[in-house]
Amino acid sequence: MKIRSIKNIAMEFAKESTGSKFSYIVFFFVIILLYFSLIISIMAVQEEKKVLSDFFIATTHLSLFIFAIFSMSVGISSDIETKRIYMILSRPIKRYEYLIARAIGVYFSSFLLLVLITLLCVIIFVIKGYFIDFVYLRTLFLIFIKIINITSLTLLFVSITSSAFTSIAISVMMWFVANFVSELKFALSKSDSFLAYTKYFLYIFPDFSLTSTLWGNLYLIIYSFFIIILASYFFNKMEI
Amino acid sequence: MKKNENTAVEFENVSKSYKIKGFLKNKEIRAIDDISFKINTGEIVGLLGLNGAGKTTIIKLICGLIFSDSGKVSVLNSYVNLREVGYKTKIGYIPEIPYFYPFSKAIETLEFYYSLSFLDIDKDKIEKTLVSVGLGDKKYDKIKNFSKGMMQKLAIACSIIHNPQLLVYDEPTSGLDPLSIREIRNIIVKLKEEGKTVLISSHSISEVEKICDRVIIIHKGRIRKTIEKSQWLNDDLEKIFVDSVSYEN
Repeated sequence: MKIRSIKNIAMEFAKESTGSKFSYIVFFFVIILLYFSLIISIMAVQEEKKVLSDFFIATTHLSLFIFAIFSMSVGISSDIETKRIYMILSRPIKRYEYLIARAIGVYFSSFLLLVLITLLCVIIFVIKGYFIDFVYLRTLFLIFIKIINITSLTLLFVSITSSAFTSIAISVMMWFVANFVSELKFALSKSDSFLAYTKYFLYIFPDFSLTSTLWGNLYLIIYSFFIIILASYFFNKMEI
Repeated sequence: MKKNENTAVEFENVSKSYKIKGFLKNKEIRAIDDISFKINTGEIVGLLGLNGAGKTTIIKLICGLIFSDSGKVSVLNSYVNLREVGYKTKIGYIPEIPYFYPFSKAIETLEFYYSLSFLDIDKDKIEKTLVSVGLGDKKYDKIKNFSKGMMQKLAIACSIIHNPQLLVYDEPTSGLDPLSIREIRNIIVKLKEEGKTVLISSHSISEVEKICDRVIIIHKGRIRKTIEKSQWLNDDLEKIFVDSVSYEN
């Protein structure tokens, strides 16, 4: 594996996704949501800090999710459509190296967006006379782990389908299921019918409720790692 | 495996089909069928054929973008397969319609492609390459402002920046104005004089007859004829081409 080539491609992709029109749209969306957070916090009176924190977390979560899955799926599918992938793969770059570089590029640009949103939130907190606590920062870290996980899944879907729309649609579905896996498992375990056996099917989905523990986060990182290996396998088979 | 040093590209009974996914059944389309040919180092070879003849498939096979179903493809003494990418440091490729990130500057794009060949950025070499393709004064311009001819020149710059031995150009003059075509042609001839091997695919007879030493006529995935320059100097290349593609098997 050529680390330097992967780094160069990843940085190029990160530069492109952060400089894209879509990233500006997402940023505008963030500003609007933060503005609404401020308005809603006025009504909270004594619970202003809590309401602000909750809205800031939700804004960060949602905007990062939209940005990451869109950047991943559109990036790869447009490389295939414009044949730019030919110019990259005609260089001494293996297909899986290209895929890893794409993933790192999206992780990195998502991290930059996370830092930018957090900076805006910190400014609002400071103006309001509040301080950011450890729990808030920890939650941001957990959101980032989820983003790594879901974008790895998007990478897998785009490697199988090569369609941006399909991979975004499946990723959104996975995102919803992943947030409710533990509840679904619990509900199925209470069932007496054949449905109870289908709970094993849920093990193929990532379980986002596990992010509350260290081992849970480790599981999500390992899960993402295996998904990238699987994506590389399908990408090698793809007729580009 | 050691092969003939004078051979840049060799196809041995190569076939390639594409699968088209259907609702119930996949359809298979044979793009090239049992093709064998050699390209010697230092020559300019043209792949001439109608649309869908299999020219781009041959080029993709050489660049390791796709892989053959049967037969062997060897490029610069290496057999092409999924694992082998080392030989790609010695080839330069341009697709039919090159695409670059529109908000990058020409010099940044060239730096990016230069870095992909494991080379440390050499600003001086990058600038000299841009000058050699006539983009010396456009190095800080954004690609979104480039014309089609300028894009093609930038693509040529990307293909030669790492000093490759073999250049593979897919329809390099397609859709360009006569002046740009002439400029691109002059660049290719200059590359040949520097000792590079060049493979050009085209469906423009006038283009290949002006610059190529040899022409391989492809029709429906098969080689119909290989013609040396001396042959078309005596006989009209257009007539040879039309005769070659007119008859059916």
